[in-house]
Amino acid sequence: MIACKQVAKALAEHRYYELPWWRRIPMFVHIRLCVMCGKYHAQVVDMQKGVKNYLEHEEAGDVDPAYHLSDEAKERIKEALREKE
Amino acid sequence: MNDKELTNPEDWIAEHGDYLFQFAFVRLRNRAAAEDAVQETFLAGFKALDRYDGNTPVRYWLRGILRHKVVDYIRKASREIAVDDSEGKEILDSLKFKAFGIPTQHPPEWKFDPEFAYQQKEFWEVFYACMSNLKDAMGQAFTLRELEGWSTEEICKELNIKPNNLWVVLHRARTQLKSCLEAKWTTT
Repeated sequence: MIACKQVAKALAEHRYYELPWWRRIPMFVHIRLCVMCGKYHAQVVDMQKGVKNYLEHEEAGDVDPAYHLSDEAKERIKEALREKE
Repeated sequence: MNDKELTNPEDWIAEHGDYLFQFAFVRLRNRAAAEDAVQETFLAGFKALDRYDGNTPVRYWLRGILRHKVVDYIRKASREIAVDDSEGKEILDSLKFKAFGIPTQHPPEWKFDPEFAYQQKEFWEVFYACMSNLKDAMGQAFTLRELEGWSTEEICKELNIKPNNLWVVLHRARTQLKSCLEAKWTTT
């Protein structure tokens, strides 16, 4: 059976949901038997799923954070584009 | 690209400015840098307009250019942020891995149900804000690994850190992100 450190290393180096099945199976067996790794694995995978979900929302353009290009920057970019025309 | 966008790239600012800025800001966590990256993207797009084939929507075409600008900025900024190599040992110890790598500390439980939160539209604004708060090396490593999907080898080469150190930095980033989400989402 693979060691705890190998589970942590694989999770650190890859997105779990992108690992091939032959790498997921030994991890799955390990985390079913090892409580600590099970919890660690669950949290890392939850976070990775969160980022994956976020990227899908970002792709669809339906995240609306309260951060916008400032008016000054818009004017500056307009000026720069006009100079290039 | 529609005709209007082809004849007047200034319209890009109103149409895609905020989207591109938000894309850059969450990856760079620096308003001035994100605005510069967006400006450079528009100028590069304008210059390359005759090579645009129209197969990709203009927003995603510009985003492709911006992605390169973001990586360039991270590459440059990483040279100014020294990562102490001794940090690796310290944090590997803090992860409580014994000689055989057996963790001895329970990771704290989530204070909310992530699966449920991921179904809520409002959650992504909180997620965005918390990712935007990750600092320096943590933010850079998190961007390249989690948002851009780079390999360990690529990130270590770009940020000039060792794999163990990257592991540690990413662990810290996830911990900080989790704390931020728990603080902001539970009070939302």
